[in-house]
Amino acid sequence: MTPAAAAQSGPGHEYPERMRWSAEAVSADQIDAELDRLHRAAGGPDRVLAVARTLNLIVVPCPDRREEEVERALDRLGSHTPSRTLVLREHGEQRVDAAVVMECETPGGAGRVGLCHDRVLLSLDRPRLEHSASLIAPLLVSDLPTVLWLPEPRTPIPDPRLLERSQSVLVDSALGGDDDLRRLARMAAGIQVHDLAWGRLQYWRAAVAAAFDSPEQRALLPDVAEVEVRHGPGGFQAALLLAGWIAARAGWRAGPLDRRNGTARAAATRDDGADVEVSLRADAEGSCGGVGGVVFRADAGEIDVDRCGASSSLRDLFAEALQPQPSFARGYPPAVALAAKMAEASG
Amino acid sequence: VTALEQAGVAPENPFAADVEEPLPPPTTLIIFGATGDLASRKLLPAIYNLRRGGMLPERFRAIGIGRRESDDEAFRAHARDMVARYSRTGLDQETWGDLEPLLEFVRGDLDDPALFASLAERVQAIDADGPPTQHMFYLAVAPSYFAPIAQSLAAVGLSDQTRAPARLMIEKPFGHDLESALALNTAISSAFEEPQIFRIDHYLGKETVQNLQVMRFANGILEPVWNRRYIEHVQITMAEDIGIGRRAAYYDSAGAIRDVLQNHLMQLLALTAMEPPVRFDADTVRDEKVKLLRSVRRYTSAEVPDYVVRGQYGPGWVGGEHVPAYVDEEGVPDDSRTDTYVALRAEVDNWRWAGTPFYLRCGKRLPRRVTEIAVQFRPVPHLPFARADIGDVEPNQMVLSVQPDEGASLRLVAKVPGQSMKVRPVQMEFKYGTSFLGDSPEAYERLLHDALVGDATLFTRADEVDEEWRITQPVLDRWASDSDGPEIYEAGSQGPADADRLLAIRGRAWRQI
Repeated sequence: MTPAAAAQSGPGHEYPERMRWSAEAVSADQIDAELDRLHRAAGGPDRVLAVARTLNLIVVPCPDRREEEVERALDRLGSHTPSRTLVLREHGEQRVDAAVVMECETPGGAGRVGLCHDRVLLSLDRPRLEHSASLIAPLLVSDLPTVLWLPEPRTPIPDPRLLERSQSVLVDSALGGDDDLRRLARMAAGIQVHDLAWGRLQYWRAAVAAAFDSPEQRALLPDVAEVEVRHGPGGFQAALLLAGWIAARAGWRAGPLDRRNGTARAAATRDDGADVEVSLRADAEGSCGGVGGVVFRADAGEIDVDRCGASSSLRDLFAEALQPQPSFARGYPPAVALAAKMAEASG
Repeated sequence: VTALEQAGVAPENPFAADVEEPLPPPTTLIIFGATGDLASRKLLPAIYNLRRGGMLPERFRAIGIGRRESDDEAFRAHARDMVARYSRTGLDQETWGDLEPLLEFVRGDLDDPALFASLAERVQAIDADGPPTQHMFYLAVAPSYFAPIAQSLAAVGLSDQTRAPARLMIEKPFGHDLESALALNTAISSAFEEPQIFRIDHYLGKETVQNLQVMRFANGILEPVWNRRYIEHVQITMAEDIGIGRRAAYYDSAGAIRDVLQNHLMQLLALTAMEPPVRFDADTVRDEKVKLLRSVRRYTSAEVPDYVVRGQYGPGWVGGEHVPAYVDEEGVPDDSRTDTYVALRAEVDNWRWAGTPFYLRCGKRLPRRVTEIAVQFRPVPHLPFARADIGDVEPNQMVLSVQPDEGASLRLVAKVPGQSMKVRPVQMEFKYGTSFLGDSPEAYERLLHDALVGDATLFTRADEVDEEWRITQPVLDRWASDSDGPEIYEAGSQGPADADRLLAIRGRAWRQI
């Protein structure tokens, strides 16, 4: 073991803002001891600092082109940062290298408590990566939920035991394709999946629900013969997830999508056996969360939900996805399952 | 056809189950006093942040009403400035671009019936454009206007709910004493029915105040000990380090008792001591609060000095600055007897609390800003350790901190490491900021959204206000007839020395502010 650097305090601040340590060829025990030392160094009788007690976040290795994005996303979380973030990377050396950064916010005013969280970058060779759960386990802050972040929906999980260690998976299905929806649907049947795309659709879910709030409007639902979801560029997956949710909640059975001329159509069946056409139409107009609008058509009338109402930053989406929102557990699994089914034969 | 449909019951909305925050129905929000301090600092930023969070309906319009020479353009510019200055999230151009065209302004005199006629026309024009909107009237004006505005709105048909809800939001003070509060409720309820009225006590919108109910009713370990057998006394404190600023005209006729104790502290008392509600809905929760307030003992005039202490700040030092006495503040009469501090020992005469006092105190120019509920448990019945040299065995204490650092702590006694059996108190702490990701909405965002979706749980019902006044009125009456004024306390101190007398039994003492 050759420590590459000793702990450093941020100069010129009343409180240490960032403390670093990195070393090559280290063990879990050494990393743990170093984290402990940094925590002790940050606190003190003259400093009102507390260690965040929110959650552990494990980031699985992603393609090189995404590494910087992942880092930027983590940097932007600010006060939404998990207590401990463990970032896994693959390297060619047959050893464990580790870099630890501990950050403490300077208290905002009298009586305020500064908050500390840390990030551990673990670079491992392939065999160690395939058994990384054994390295991660002693580094997790105990009694906190653990979230596994897949920076891309198709990112493989190097050690299946990482999934066993986690209470939920964080992912963004908007970055993937049809195959990924199927993978997420399978995953959602066994573990809670926090899909950022589902979070982005929060406004649309609320708007669709509000559109059917009045008994008069609700009376149209059993007779809906057509649903059209418009989506912006790059918003197909989001529209598909929303359509999957609408169909699942309306109690329809949906068939596979047929894509032609910028529109994908699926035949669905209502409870009474009547057909419903579900279409996803590309639209150059603006969108939020990838979706530009939803129209329900029945013989007796039409319900148009067409104005975007919210803009959520990645930071907000992370915070929402990492909170125990009931809809992630209740609404997402059937929605993604039906979306995956519709995507099955899309071509 | 399902059995429910046969019975004429509409099926539930299948989409509602997966919505974290419901969207309000189409809304026209009418703000009286739209360019005033409350609307500028709190309401306009709250509207902006609700829009930013996607929590306003697709069909939304806000009409500001004020006396100033202004128009839509000037009002929008003013709103933009206020959002930029006071919004917790700053000002995002895209969100503002969406919201700006939805803001309108109507200039008029609140005493002029023509204002209400033109407002009705404006609202009708909006409703003619699509499905009818709910009409939400926010009265950010002086309380003397509450009843006249409510009655003027009713006179032009704007309190009518035939096509869509019509709701009225008002903010304390709800009356100056019991008689005026009853008169106000009578006057307003001649124009709007009670379920249409949303009385704001912004304290109820704070996370920790809501968390008080979660802590009590979602944690099995607390309920068995939350009673007279295990709790020795409770201290509810709302201390401010600031003075009265430019509010002399209001404050000198109100004092701490009307400004804080009659409303905020009574609400905190009710939430701390009430029985568990069967459901967390508006009337069930408020029924329990009213029941509790009715069990708070009303003191006779002769008893008041034994249970209530008032004070007024003199000059002193706060936060490293020398500050003047209350009577030297701008706009305060030299001979003012207004209370800037009040402490009250409340006795709750019911089975759960009989014999466990609740000490309430609030004041200005105290050492720091703090709002907290401190629950002092009874000491252990027997200590098996040699008492003489064991150290400091203090009873357990649970503190729920509302501000500035929201959270809860529990004081336990632990052994000091070492050869001998020495003990000292230690703290188990939960801080909101360390345990949750995400930002809390401002109290006004939460309350405005709740009112827009028709959830009155966090609003004060008329009978709550009445009961709060019934507790306070004997104190006001006694003070009015007393020849003695409030005790002068040094600014920056813990308050009047006489307040210690309220607790000076069984070794009780106020928590240090």
